[in-house]
Amino acid sequence: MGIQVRQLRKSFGGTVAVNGIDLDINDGEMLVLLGPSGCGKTTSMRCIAGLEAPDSGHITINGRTVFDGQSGTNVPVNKRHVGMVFQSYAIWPHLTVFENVSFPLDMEGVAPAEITRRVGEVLELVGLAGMDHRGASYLSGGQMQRVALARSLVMRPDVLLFDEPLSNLDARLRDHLRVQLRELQTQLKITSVYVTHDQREALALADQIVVMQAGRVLQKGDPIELYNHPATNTVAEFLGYTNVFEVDVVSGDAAGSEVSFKANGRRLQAGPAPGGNANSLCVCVRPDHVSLRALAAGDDAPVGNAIAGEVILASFLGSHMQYRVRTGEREIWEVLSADVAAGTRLGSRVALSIEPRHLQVLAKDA
Amino acid sequence: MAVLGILIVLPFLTLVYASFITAAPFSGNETAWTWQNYTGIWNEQMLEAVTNTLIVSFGGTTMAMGIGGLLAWLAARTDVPGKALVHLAGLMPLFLSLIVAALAWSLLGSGRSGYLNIILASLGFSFRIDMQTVAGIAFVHGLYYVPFPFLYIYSALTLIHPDMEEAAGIHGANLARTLGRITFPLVRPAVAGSGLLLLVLMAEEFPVPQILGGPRGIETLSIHIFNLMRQVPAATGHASAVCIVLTALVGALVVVQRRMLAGRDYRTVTGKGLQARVLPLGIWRWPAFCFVLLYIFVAMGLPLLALLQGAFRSTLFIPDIASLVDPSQFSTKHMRAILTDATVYKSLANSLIAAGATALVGGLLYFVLSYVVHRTDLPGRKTLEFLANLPLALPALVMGLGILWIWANIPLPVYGTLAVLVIAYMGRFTPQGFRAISASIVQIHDDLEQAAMVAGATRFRAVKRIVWPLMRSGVAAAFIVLFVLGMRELTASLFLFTTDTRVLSIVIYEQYENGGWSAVASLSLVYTLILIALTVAGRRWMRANV
Ligand SMILES: Nc1ncnc2c1ncn2[C@@H]1O[C@H](COP(=O)(O)OP(=O)(O)OP(=O)(O)O)[C@@H](O)[C@H]1O
Ligand SMILES: [Mg+2]
Repeated sequence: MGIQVRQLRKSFGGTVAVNGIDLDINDGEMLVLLGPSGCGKTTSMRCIAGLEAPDSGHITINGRTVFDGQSGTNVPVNKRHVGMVFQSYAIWPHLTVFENVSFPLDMEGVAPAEITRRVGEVLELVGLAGMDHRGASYLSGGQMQRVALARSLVMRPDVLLFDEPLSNLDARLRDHLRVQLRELQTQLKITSVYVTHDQREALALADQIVVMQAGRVLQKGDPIELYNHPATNTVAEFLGYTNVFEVDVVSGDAAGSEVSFKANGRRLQAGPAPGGNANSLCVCVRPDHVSLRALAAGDDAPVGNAIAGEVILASFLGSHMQYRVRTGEREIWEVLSADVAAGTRLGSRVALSIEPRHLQVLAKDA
Repeated sequence: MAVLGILIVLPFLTLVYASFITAAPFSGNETAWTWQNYTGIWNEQMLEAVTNTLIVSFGGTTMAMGIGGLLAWLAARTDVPGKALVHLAGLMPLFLSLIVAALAWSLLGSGRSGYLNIILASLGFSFRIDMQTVAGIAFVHGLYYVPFPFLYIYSALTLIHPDMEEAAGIHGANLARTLGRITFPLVRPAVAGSGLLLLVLMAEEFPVPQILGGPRGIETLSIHIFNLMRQVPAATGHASAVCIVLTALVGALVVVQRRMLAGRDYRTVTGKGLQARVLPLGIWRWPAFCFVLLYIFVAMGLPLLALLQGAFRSTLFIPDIASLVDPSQFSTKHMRAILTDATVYKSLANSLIAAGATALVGGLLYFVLSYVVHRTDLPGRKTLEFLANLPLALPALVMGLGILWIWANIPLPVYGTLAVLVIAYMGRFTPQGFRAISASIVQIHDDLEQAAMVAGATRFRAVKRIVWPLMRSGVAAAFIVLFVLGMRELTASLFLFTTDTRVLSIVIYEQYENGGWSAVASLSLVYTLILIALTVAGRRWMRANV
């Protein structure tokens, strides 16, 4: 069961929007499509919904083939039984909240009493109880978003699709709704596809993340696995790694390696280099895996796997301090330190030390 | 497709055919293929007609766009006093059929007996107004084509998200620059669209140049065509060839407009309610208001006064200004004669039926057409769109002629009934109806409809439950416009009416040709009052039900 997508391709005129992707979504799981603007996330999702006819490929939803390029099967959108929350919400302005939400049930031909019950239930669920008869056109952004969600939930869809549903909301509301969405998802166990280019949203919501670029899948995996072991520098960057540097491997084996930074020849101990013959390599390290301590004046060569530098930004994030440290020509490190009371400030000389296993060596994307 | 074929393509093909043969098409006369029609038309008269056409079209368009754009902006975006009046000003000329407008201005400003000239003379001015000139024709065009740009630009302006203008203000633009850099570019499709429409409509306009220019022998292309057709024997081939030349010209204009607007998505509405912002005019409030009043007075007040004069005077002779207000000169005899004339009632009924049928059947047809063109990817929709715009390039005279040649020779009981008029009107007003309805369809974001389909609605139900209700006011407005256009139609009817199917405008035109000015004025007055009553009733109904 769940959803299987095989070799999906879709182009518009000359531009290839989706270039042969495979996706597997298990029952009740949320898959997040993550990638930069224009990489084909929306298009992939619209193909699953049936709003876009793919050029070729194969899509199965809960065991039913809804699209097959070879046999020409293409189940129309209104027969796919999918729910979708549009980025623009697509709330019908001439209808009330109740009429918006009851629409899918109306289309299914559900009895009026049942409709009232189910709409009431779902409005309660999304926190809009009692708003049934409000006109839809003057709702706030957050309310519209909830109406859109309710409208999709009420039909108990086989799959629920989200196209950047939170991107039009302010940050607090976004955080709030993100948590709510995760709650709802784990509670209701609806198979979902969620499109975003915000890595925090992706990590917080996903059971599985698929990182896309230029119509292709770069890497997929569960959020923790992916976050800890990005396969390439591009994936690392999407996932919020700010410390990514090009390197050459000087020497190494299965236990670890020594790398030399291309920008300035700095040498550090790092994790094992990937097998195969990648043309070019990078190292990446999470900002919270770098530890920072003040350096005595004149001490320019800290001991161990460490670098000296100067703090050029210090920003208090509540539970952490965020620092930027310039360590050399075209080389700036980002550091998250739990020690908020350390008193390190702008202009301080500091040493950054990194455990070799945290300095991951990755293939560099072409 | 087939419907459009019959309504539009067939008359056009008939015309093309007619332009390559020596006799009238389907007339049963001996005929042969020829190029003569195209080589024979380029005489001095033709060149003068082309020049005149260009002058009245460009002059009239410039004036109508200026007035209409200004009114639309005042109504949509400013705190001008009397908003309702501004709206009224923008739409009012629709009440006045162009034939009536031309007749009224001919009463006002032709020669020494024009009312305005009598007044000027009495006041001791040596300056005289002469409407029976190319400039006069352009002026009347400019005055009465205002509703087109007004409607287009007004709706485009109200759809601009106020944030966009405010953002420009925030980024340092003053009012003039916001207007120039943001507002105007955003309404450019509306401006270009209505401007092109006006150029073309004026180029093929018939009653105004005929009534104002006719007595002096001034010809525009459409008059030239009409006169070619009126010659004995009728120069059908030459007339058709002139039409084809005009069609080619206009087609080129349409292509230019397409190029200009290609690849831009101006949809700014996503289903969120907009609170339009109002711009304080400051000291310009009252001058703006006076401009509106002046326009109303010149476009409606003067002609209506002129018609009242003409209708209720016992004699046409007016020696001086005093006799314009002398009660002993007035009588209701002409009006009584009109109101007791059975042919007037018959023609009124004909007009109502023909216009009503056009609005209903046509409105539905144009809706389907717009939907297919803008919301589906069916093959051939580009062709459909092209066909829908084709009548723009077909002068009404010629459509009338093409339809006459077709239906008079087909053994179906259509010719001689009102149905043939409805066919002509539906064909003729396809561009207006299609554009009006398309404009409201494209403002509805695809997502709204797609959300309904995702929610399980078939396409038909999505249209019925979502698209149609959202467009209702747009469609209703289009219905009313179509109805009024149908009521005003004269040109295509000229070839198609029979004694039993005379419409009101035809009766007036016949009276004019017979020189019965008192009857013309009385009838025009009645006609105008009916149009006003219908439009007001239509808007009431719209406000109550939509
Ligand atoms: N209807 C369309 N016609 C033509 N090109 C399209 C259409 N829809 C998408 N594209 C193109 O396909 C590519 C992928 O678009 P898509 O909307 O899937 O990107 P996305 O990953 O969702 O981006 P974003 O994060 O900006 O929403 C883009 O280059 C886009 O320009
Ligand atoms: Mg997208």
